[in-house]
Amino acid sequence: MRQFFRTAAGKTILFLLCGIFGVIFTATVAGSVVLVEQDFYTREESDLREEVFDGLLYRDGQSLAWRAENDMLSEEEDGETGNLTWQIVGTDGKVKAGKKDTKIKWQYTRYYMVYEDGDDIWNYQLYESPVKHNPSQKYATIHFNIDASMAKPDKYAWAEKGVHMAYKLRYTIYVIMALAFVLGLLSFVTLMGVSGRRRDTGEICPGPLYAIPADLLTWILGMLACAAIGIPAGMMTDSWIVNAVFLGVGVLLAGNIFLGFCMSIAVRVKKKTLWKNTVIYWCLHLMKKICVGIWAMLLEFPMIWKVVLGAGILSFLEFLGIVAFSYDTGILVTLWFLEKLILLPVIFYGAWIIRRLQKGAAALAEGDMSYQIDTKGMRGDFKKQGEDLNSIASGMSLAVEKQLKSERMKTELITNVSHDIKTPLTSIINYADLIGKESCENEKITEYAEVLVRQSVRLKRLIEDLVEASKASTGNLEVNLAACDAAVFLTQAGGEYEEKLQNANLTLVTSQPENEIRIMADGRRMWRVFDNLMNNICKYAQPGTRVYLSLERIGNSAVIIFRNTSREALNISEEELMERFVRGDASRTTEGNGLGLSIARSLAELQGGKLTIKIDGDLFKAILTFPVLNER
Amino acid sequence: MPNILICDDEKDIVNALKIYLSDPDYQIYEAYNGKEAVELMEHTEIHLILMDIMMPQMDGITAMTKIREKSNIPIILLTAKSEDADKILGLNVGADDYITKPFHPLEVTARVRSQLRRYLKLGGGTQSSENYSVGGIELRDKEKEVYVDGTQITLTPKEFEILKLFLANPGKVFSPKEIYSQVWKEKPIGTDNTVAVHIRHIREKIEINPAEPRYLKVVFGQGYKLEKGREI
Repeated sequence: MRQFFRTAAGKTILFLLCGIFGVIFTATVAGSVVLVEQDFYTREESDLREEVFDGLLYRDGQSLAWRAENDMLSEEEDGETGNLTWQIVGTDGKVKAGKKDTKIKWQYTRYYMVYEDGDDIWNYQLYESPVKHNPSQKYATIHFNIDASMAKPDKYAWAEKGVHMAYKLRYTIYVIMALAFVLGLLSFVTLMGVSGRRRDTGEICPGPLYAIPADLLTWILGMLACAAIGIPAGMMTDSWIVNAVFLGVGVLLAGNIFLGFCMSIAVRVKKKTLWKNTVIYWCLHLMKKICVGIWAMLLEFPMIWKVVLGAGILSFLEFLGIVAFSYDTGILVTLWFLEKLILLPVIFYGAWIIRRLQKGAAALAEGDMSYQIDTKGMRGDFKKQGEDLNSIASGMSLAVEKQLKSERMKTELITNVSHDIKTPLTSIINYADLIGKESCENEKITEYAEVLVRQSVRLKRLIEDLVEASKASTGNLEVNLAACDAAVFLTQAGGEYEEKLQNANLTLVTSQPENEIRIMADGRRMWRVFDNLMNNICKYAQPGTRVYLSLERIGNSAVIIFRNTSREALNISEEELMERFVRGDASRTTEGNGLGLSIARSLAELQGGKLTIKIDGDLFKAILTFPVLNER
Repeated sequence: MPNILICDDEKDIVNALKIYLSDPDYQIYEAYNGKEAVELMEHTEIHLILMDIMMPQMDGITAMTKIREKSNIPIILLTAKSEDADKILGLNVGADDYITKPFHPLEVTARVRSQLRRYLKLGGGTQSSENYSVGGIELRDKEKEVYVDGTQITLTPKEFEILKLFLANPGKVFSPKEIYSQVWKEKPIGTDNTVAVHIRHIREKIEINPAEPRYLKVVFGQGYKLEKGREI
């Protein structure tokens, strides 16, 4: 249905319906006004009919009387026109024209004045009773009969039918009015709804009128509508029918213009451009732009010029004030001039110095620590301010240098120490292994050797993690970012960890969206992040539970969530867990060194992502957030 | 009897390696710095070298460059540096493999055996429509057989197909979805990690240390690839 109304045919039908119901409504309103005016609700139908007939008879009678007195009635006329039968009796009492029969019983009798001296009378007034009017005059008589059967279709028949219908409809008209109003409104609203919408998609594609600004359109269409009604109203012809037709066409045209206007406005409202697409808006917008431009230009002015401009304007105003409001202008102007002569150079000097200090502070703010403010020519407080800024710069560059050096040294130290530890550790692991392999009577020796191997392997892991943690947190790692499909991380991690999860009696549930989500990541670093998080899950999740690994797109971020139920109660805050060497289990009995999360977070951050931890009771959530790579 | 040269400034490590490798029929030679190794090479026929990088007098990289001028024998680097840059430098200069300290003894023996077998027996692989070979892996399509360093291994049909796909396109990265549609000939389902599991199984069968694969590598976030063999 809606689709149909969006087609051209549907819109045309709606348009026509609007017009038709509009006309009906207007007509019924006008009719009801007439009905009230004519007392249709208090009088009988016959009474009303007689009044209408009376009016008609008056016109016909006048015409007949005029023609009779001017001898314009021929002998042939037998006193029957349509449903009307008539007879004119002269002042002498003889039948002058019309029906010759004198025995007819007449329904209506009217009189008109006749002057004996034969003066022409142009307008024959009809009277119901001559005596009341002016008994001294002589009167001719006109008799009428109206055929009650209304056999012939003349104006009396139409008048009777009209009165009959109006009388019958005098209450129904309100129902029609209401119906026309409701239906008209309904089609109007629907038309407004579908206007400008495409049939298939419902998309709004504006018509040619859309190009015209709303206020201009209102003006143009308003003028057109006024013309459509005004022109026929102005050129009234003699024929009332022609006038009515012209006026009707004019009003219809105006109505169509109004409907079209409403449709165009509806489209604008729907596109939310009603206000923006107006000449007024354009003008205001232009004015605003000009104002902003002028303001920006003023702000762009170098500070010295701003001061000059301000001081100049102020001085000018002062001058005007002195001239306008003082009696002894001469002395005051001289004094004023002297004051300015001293004050203005001081102000400009101040502005010049402040400008230099400003430049220095801006350079500092941008991180240029080598910038030194030239304090030559500065005096007193200005000089002190300049020197302070200079010492801030040198102090800060020193601090930054120190910081960098210490970071570098820390990483270097850890790398070197780890290298030096690894060499003896290699021997420890190997010889412990060899001891274990020696066939020995004392079983305990084999057992102790195993402990040695296990613990030295753990030490090796700790050293490696320590180096990585230190490098990751200082950003001392090379990161090669490439576009990756985030879903592939999940499938690959799931595949790599399947067996480990099975051994820990955990079930992995993965969910990812249909659409590919691409992010920038370094595969190797990302693997370490996943490795650490999945390892944690294997170590700390409650056996027999499910582990959820999900990927979804939230706004412009790819969000990967690891969810598992912790085996131990997590009596630790989220921030603390992220700290190095902090572990979920206070007893520190499980393997692991508490570096995993810290490394994972640093690596995620190095790749432009984020790792957050959420703890909700026993539910442990690790959330990786990476910005989605937008294609093209 | 293959001659193996072990070169490390740490005597204990040389000794330990000697114990591990003397078990089968290898002849072991020792050197305690790069210079000794180069000198020893001049009058002794050596078939494989295990060499540390950080050594006094002459470091491993320099020694290897010198040795490579005359010989193309397999060289395995032993290094405490786990920096990627060092590994890449070592491989570029002419190493055939590297082992990071501290190492697992079994891994060392496996890698030594693998390098020796390739050097002494296999030579370069032959590529034909039915036989594919990369590094120490050889796949015979007709017989449905796979050999790693001359030893036959058993693969399931799907694993065989996946490995064949990789061997036919060495160095190319395949995404899990591509592998699925090429091997299973079906449209892949989003959350399925069948491919990842199969790859892991293959890796366990063909790699000495599956956690640090030589051949079948995980390109995390992209897919998997078969490393082009470091042919001598």
